[in-house]
Amino acid sequence: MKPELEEILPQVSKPTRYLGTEWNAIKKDHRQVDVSFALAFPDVYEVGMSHLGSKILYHIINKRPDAVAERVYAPWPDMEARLREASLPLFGLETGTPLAEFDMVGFSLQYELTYTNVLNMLALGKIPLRQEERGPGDPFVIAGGPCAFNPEPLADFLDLVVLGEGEEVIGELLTVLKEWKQEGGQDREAFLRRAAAIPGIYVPSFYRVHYAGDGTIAAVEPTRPEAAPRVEKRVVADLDAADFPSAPVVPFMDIVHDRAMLELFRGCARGCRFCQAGMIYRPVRERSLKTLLAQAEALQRSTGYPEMSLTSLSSTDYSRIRELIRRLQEAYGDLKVSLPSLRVDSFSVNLAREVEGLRKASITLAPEAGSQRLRDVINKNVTDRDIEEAVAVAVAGGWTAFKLYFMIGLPTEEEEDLLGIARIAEQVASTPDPAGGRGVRRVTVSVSNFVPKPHTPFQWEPQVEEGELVRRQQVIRRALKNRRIILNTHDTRASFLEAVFARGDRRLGKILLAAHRLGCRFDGWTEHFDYGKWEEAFTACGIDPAFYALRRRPFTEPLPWDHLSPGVAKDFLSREYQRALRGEPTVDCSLVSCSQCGVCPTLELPIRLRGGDRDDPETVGQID
Amino acid sequence: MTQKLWARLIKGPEVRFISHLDLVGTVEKALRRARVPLAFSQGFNPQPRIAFAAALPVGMTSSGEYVEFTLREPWPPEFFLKQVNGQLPPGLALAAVREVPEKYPALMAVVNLARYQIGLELPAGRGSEDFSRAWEGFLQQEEVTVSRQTRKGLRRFNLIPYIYHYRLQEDSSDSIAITLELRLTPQGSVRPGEVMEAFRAYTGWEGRVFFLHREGLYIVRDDGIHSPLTVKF
Ligand code: SF4
Repeated sequence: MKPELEEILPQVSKPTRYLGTEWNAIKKDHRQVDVSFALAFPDVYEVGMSHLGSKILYHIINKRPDAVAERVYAPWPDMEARLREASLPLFGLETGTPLAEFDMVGFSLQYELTYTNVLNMLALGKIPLRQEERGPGDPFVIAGGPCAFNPEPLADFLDLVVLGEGEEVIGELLTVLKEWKQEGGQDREAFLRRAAAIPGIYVPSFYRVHYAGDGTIAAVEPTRPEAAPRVEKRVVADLDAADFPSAPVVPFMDIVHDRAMLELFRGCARGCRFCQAGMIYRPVRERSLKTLLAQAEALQRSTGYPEMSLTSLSSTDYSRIRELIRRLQEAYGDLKVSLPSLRVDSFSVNLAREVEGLRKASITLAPEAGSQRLRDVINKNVTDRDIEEAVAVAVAGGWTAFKLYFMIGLPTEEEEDLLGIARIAEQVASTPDPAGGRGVRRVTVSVSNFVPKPHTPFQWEPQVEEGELVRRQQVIRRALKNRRIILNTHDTRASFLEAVFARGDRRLGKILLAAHRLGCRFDGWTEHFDYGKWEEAFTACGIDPAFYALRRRPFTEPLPWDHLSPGVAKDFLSREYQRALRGEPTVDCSLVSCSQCGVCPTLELPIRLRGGDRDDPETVGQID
Repeated sequence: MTQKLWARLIKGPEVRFISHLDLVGTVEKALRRARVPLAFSQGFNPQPRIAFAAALPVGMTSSGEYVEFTLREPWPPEFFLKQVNGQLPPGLALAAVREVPEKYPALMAVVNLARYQIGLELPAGRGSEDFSRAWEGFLQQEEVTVSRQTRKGLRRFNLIPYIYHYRLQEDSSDSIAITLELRLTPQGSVRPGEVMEAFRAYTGWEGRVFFLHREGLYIVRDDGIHSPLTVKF
């Protein structure tokens, strides 16, 4: 460790965030490799270290003998202040190499309110913020993750963007980078043109955006032959063949998800219309039981975690979930298996009861909307009965604390839907315990504000404006009578800002720069969020944020992200939008029939249920 | 048949910023990687039976932390040592381990003394004589109150009864080495940092504490001071 750092660490909170000596951390001599990559996560260590995608890339890059990847997270403000005082640049955790000395700095974009952290980390790393200001010797700044499907607000700052799953494309990119470096590595444009020719790579500076008189986008035009008019995302066809992080870094401190992660499948076919992940990660691809058991064994040996989480968008949908759990429990007697996302039905709650027992104090369910009508609008395939049964099973199983997740501001929402949220909460709170126990002790109702996201059927919808959201929060609050119910609502201004940047365009780069200069960072953290500064930024730049968040966009209007494709066809999204307004649900394509979203033909990839038939007694005990 | 092991753990500078709670988790994961057959507590949420004799303040290194491990089937102690050391991150190592009879008391119930090495600067114009005088004057008081912010609020206590023994040694012309032995009691203990802070506050001493290290934990009885690795009951 550098002596300057030794001096600083005793003065900051949670110094283990900055050590870089965790178990399984990989330290390489930069002089022995051809290319170096900083895996940058624009949030605090505990959040970034919980992210599976970053673990995968860390593993894949470091497996190459010619490359090194190091981690870097947004320093907490107390650490930032010390770094600035000591004039220390932000550094890669493993070797302390300054960020500016890496060949490539790659940000994972999970959430719009981390964008100012991207800028702040570049500034702390002494890297020119704007892409056009970078020259020979500066790193290439790249990004990926769900928000990369509309990276336009960050277009000024990014050299290139990776669409979709990174495990294959990262290798192709590093190889091109290595060749370019070996040829001298001076002409940045030459590298970017070669990179743009790789499927799944988007170079924002190779596109010119034309605006119409009313401020909407008229056209987006590629300006280099390598820049495709529409960039398709990358996916891994066969997850059994894909590399996985067999020895992830084990942090010293308690992080958000402090457990081993076993990824059962990617994609989710349920088709919730508000959910961006459900659209951009299609199609569903499962891992086989055999692969999962081998990966579980590797994780046990390499990490020693006492807990393993079965992660996926909707884990209990895995075809052979029961079989998998049974075999994990047989193989590892004292391993705690956990399910991160429970569907609201008795099957899932029963499973949770079997695997988790009463280890966890509370059980979390997400009905999302308060009425059957609205749940049909958003295609949340959960009935009032499902909710009742799930809760009854949980109470009978001994759970006494519930967390319920809902959204407000959903399209077509009415008073009745809001009262429905209160009604469900009241029902849960008064569910009797058949065994005569104490029943439900506490119900925590968490109500978030709906943010329309790109590439979803609701991408044309306006967000409900702030004052009205606050009123709707109050409607629910007033309707709640039971003192055992706790209502948590979200900051409407933070949701507004999220909506602005989620569907923003390149002109918002100015705002990010202004907000960064005013000191905005960690905007997703209540204690650091300062909306006043954002208002100042919008006023100074003469940009009306309502144009992005509150405007209903006509179907005919070109959207800022139309040239970026997750494989799902735009007309599927508009069809889904129409069905939503009619309250017509759409079936799960992995269970029933294809709903023609376009992903499978576009990517030439069928959905893949490797587990086999859903816990069919015939196949139980067999492994592919 | 369970097996009880007492081990001495070294916490080096690489890991000195790890909190006590994180250290416990780090050791547990290392034992799991080493496939040690740990015994578990009973109840809804069984926990592995790993018990540290006394928490070490954050930021401090130690050459003598003691840990009691309970295994559900016996392992030869040398094998245990080798397996676990292969799985500990840099800066952590088990130095020695001993098997103790089942009927021995819990380690944390018998360890009652901690020995620290402290390095203190002598400010310009002050010699080791000046320091000894100030130090002895400080310790001759009946009562020196320490205030500590705990989760349950502010705790105030007198540190004097916790001082067991000390030894002073001139380190170089500008620093002094203090060996300080502090009692660990069921009611609590005082941290060496707190003692030094109180000393500086009382005497206005300007030199900085530049080194703080726990040398070991011991068992004081009428028959002398014992190491947990050799004591007999
Ligand atoms: S193309 Fe059909 S089967 Fe494939 S993901 Fe879309 S809806 Fe499902």
